Amino acid sequence: MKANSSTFLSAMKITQIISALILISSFSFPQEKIFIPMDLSQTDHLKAYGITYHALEKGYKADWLLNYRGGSFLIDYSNEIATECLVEGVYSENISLAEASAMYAEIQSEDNNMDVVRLEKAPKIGVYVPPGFQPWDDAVTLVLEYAKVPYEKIWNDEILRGDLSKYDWLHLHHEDFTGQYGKFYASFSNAQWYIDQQIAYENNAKKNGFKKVSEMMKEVTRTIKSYVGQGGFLFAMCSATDSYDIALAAENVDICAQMYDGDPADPQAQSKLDYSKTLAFTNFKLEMNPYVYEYSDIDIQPIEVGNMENDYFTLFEFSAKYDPVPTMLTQNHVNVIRGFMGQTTMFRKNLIKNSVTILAERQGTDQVKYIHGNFGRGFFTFYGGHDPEDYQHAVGDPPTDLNLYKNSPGYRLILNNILFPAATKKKQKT
Amino acid sequence: MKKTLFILFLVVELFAQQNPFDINQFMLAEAYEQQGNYSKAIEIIEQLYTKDTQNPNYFNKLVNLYITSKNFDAAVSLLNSRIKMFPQDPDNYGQLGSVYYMMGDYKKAKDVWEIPLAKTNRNSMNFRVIANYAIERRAFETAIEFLNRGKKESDDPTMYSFDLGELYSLTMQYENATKEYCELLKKNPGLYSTVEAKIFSFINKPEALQPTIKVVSSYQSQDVVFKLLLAKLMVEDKKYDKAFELYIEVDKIQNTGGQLLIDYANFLFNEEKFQLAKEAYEFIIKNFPESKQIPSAKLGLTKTLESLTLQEFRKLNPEWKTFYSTVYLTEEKTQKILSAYKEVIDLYKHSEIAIEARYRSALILYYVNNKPEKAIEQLNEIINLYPTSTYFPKALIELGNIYLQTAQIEIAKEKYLSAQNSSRVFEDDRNIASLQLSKVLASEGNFNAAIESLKKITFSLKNDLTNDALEFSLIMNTAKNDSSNLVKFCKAEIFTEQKNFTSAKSIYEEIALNPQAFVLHSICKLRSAEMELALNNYPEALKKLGAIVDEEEKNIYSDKALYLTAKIYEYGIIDLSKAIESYQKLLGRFPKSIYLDEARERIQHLREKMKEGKTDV
Repeated sequence: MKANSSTFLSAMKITQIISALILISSFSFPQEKIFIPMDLSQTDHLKAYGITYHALEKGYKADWLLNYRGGSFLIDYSNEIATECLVEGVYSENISLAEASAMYAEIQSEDNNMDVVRLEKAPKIGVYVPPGFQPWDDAVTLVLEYAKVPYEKIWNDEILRGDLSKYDWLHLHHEDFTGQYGKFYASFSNAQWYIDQQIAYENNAKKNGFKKVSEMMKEVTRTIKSYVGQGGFLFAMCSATDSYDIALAAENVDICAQMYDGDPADPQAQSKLDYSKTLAFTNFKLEMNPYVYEYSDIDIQPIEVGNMENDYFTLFEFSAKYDPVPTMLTQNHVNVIRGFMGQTTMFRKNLIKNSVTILAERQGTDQVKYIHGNFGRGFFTFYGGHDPEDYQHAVGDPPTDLNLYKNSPGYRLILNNILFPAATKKKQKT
Repeated sequence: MKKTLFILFLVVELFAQQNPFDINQFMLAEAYEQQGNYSKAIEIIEQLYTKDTQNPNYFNKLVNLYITSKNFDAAVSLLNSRIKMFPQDPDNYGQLGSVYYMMGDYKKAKDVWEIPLAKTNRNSMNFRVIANYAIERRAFETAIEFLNRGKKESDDPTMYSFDLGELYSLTMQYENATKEYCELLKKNPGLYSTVEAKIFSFINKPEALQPTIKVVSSYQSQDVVFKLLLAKLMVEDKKYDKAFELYIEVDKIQNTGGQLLIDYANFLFNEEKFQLAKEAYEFIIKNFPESKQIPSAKLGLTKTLESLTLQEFRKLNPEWKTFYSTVYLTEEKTQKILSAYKEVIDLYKHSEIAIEARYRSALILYYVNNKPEKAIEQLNEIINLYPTSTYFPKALIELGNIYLQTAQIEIAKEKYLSAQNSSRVFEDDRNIASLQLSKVLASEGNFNAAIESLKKITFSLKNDLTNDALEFSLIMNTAKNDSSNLVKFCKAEIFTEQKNFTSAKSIYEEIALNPQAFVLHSICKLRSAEMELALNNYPEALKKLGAIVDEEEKNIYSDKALYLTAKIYEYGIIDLSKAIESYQKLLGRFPKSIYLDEARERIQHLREKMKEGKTDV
């Protein structure tokens, strides 16, 4: 653990102070509660998040019971929500007020590393995807679709015209913010999808008044950073993580070779990087060879990962009462999770800024899977890898059928992030 | 390896006349370049170029180094000096324009590119050369402009049209791309395959198909190839009837004797567009009676008619019920299929195809037309004439089924036994025979023999019938001691198979009322409700099912009863709200039921239907 999220912490201490009794008296409880356990008894962990999200959308009160039976949810009873649990195959229990009180008391006990977080509002979710995108191109949209959590697709036009302020949560997946089209040139420059993608980006840049795609992407990157600074939540996976930070560091230098933006990269690009502008990474070395499928040395290479049978990462345990943010982000029914690869698989530990909290890593290595930090009034979370249930997802591979992975701990980490803004929204306003 | 040696040879040849020191210097500069030390590399190449300004290697290397190191001014100066030396070489202008383009001075780039295209320098090939420089810089609109001008100037516009078609499709101007290709095709219909491949390379992109169809339609009257192209595009647009009309026209003009149409009819059959496939096959049979394609068309028509008839047959019958009285089709409805099979039987006598045709005719006669005598006749033909055919045991099983259902139990038993012991029988068929035989044996009270027969199926858990065999086996093993009720139950099961639901119901009711009948009374309660359902007595069926549901864990069929209740509301009474309510109850009351997934799926489906305001399901 590198740092606490201190701003948030002070706000969240309110929850710590409130005892179970005060909680009960301060909220008007209906007769019963719906308890959704998130431990191994849960039949569909992923849809449980969708149920909680819908409950918030419909105005029901929901509590996230951190570290209690795998990070369970407690929702005001309603026939509507109880039926939804049945229809969606989410295991739930109807509990009485007395049982709920006992649960709160146990959670609030100083002896237990648990806490209650009140979920206030269903966050509005924006997913950054190019036109023509299919949900199975991206693990986040795949799981949002599966859990039936609504989201809107946004791209450069929306970001550049200032639409980000409409969203509480922004997700970036395997997009390339450096303007190098994923550095797929060597393998796919003749593939139709690559050609179409390049044309689509170029037309988009032209439409938005930019001479080069890389210039447009820099503006997009800056706008997203400003959104985070003003209190937004950024969640990035796969190559959106390192390429985003690289684009920030290279704001004033051309790092794109001729085949990407029409003119050569600055030969002095490496020395002109400004690490002070990045969110998570520092002192990284760019991979300037345009034919090499890698942006920098941030990403862990497959040879370093080694045998896939041994690829597991471990979630850190945080103090629920003192460090609620990372606790929320690491809620799971297991703490050792199967690894998975991506264009960016994991992050090199010595290139992560000290201000960033490491949430999960491969124990005994310098390979970090999951990180979190804050910038300005907002937060960002980076999660390495492409699809938690498809070890080596390649271009053109079929989509993962999440009906077969209802209890995926890797996918749960993604969904922790969508409820995280729901927990903090009220604090932001104060 | 060969390639490397060849390149090495070329390099050596190029430098053969040069000073070895210069060659070393050149290689040193390349090494600096690879290390990213551009200033050192430039320094060396500049010296070499000063010594020998005519050397194209030095010149090219120096221009590239200036560009790579972003020293655009030096590149401009060098290229200008080169233009002075070789004013007729369009490549120098192309490169110079490109450098200006990289500098962001698009106007200057265009002006420079225009110089070799001026009338005084007219050479139509220059347009392609310069257009390629514009394409390299991804200035597609400029390249399109140059190529269009080149096309006008050139004696051979074909290559320009192909270039333009590619560029238009690349820039998503599909209408223009199609026009370009259609013009090519108009001039040279022999290019059909190439043009078709080019057009089909982009029609699946978003918003590409409709503009393409629009353009090709406007060329329809020009040549038959456009009709053929349009027919294929209509298929892509799923407008199969329009495509059929076009194929008829093309077939007529090209005089292919129906070949094109038979291919299309087969395609329609595979796409399950049976009605149109039928029309297509009939059209071929009627209009090309002498064609070699007739047997193929007739076979296709038979298969299509069978599919259409079975679709109609399924629609008439409530397959959602566990048991139901079959609504049969008249022989008139199946006459065409049966005649077609008869034709196959006569045409290919004694062949396996003819035997299959006879077997399929028997199935239609019995299951679709309810003509057991005629079906028996066909099946007996197979048994008497073709004992080595793979259809021999299948025919025995079907005969067994017919005799069982027409209450000729002894003959049925004999047929199942023969099928079970046949050396030609496949495992799946043997399992069917064994299950049926066990039902008959059990109804006669011969439980041990029935259980033995079932063991042949349960031996392998991979069989489709293993579950049924296990369930029946379990009932017999559990209720064996109550043999009188077990025999009654097994007889009722035979009545059910014979669709004698009233007789079956009275037996089931009798056992259901007997609390001593242990396991049997549970299943008989369900069967009794299922008989009411088969007899379309929905209120009575709902009442009986409700009573089973209320027994909860005391009746192992209570979840199935609730599932059937939901089905009655969904398909029988058509009260979608009640159906949803019942499915939801199933989810709540029986969380371990095997019907959960289907119940969830039905809830989602019915909710959608209700949202759309539809009541049918």
